[in-house]
Amino acid sequence: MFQLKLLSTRRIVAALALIVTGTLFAEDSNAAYAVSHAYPYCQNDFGVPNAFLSGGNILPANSLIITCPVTDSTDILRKTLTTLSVYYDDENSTTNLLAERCVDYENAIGGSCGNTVSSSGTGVSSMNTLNTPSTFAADWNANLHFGYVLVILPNQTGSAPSRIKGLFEVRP
Amino acid sequence: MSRVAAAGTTVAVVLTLGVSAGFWLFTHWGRPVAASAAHSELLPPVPAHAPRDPIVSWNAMRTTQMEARLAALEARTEVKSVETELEDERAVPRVVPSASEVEQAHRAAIERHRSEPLNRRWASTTSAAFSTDYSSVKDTTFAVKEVDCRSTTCALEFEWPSHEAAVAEWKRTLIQPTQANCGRRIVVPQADPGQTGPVRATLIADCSTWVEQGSPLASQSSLP
Repeated sequence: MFQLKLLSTRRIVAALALIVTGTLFAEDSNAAYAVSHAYPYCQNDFGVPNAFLSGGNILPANSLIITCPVTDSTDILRKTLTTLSVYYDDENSTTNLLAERCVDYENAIGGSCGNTVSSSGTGVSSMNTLNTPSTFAADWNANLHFGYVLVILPNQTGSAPSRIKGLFEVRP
Repeated sequence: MSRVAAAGTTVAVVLTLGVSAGFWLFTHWGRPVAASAAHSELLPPVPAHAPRDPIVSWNAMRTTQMEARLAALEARTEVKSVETELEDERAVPRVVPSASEVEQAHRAAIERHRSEPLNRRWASTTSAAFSTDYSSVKDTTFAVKEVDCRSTTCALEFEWPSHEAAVAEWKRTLIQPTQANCGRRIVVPQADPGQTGPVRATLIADCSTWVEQGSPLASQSSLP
């Protein structure tokens, strides 16, 4: 009887110890590095000067091309991005807002862009830019080129312009 | 008596675990997860003949692991530390391809496109869409000389009046919204010394992802 009780006690203590130790070993494996950038982080790359106002395109007839840099540093590599979201407010009922990832080649004259994602309907939302197709992913992940997000804002048709609110990045 | 024995055993076990946890915290606190995982490679696996009693097994495993770690630390000059390995990985110099290498890779991509089997229906529809999308791009000087689509890729040849114009406007070919949602890549060839006159560059559109989605064309009115 005593042997059985002792064995049970040992097993219980051992199980508790394993749970405690497992918790210690688990550490912060879910920790992620998240960054948000407000619209001033981006700039009007092509188009009429002063058309990019408070993140919006105030041109009544023309779209506006905005570019936002994606940082690639020694400690935080671009290829480790798990989420790259563009937060926007599309106020144009007929024309979509587009976004895509791109790189410029460091030495050569040229670059590449991935598939485009577009807004669906008016309103405030977010969209994830894709790391596809694979040929583009190779450029994006190479850490040898300069990366950015390209956003095309549709023209202003009503009282409010379509605008980009910012970027949100998550890296493990 | 039996209760005293059980209590004594429990205290001994708790003390052992406490010391183990303290040692682990001392050696791991503040280290990245990757480093911890890599450190575990220094530890030997639990022997197959380990005793079945969980407490004895645990203590034996920890003792073996600690001895192995101590040996590894003593031989640190021979065993490269994980931190150093990570630093080495980050310190690898960036070998950026030269302009010639990028051009060569782009030419290879064009050749792969040319050798792709032809899907007449898809090629016809997609070529027409690209031709329309690039027919009149505002404030640019380039002209589309050829659109050649196969089954998942297209090659679009642009011509500029000069190399300077090509350098100034190549990015417009990537930015132009298109009905076909494809990845795009373009490289402008380096200018030869004294080169004048028109310059051509080929854009490769990789539509593989779009094809997998059924190649749905976006309506022109929805494009900004």
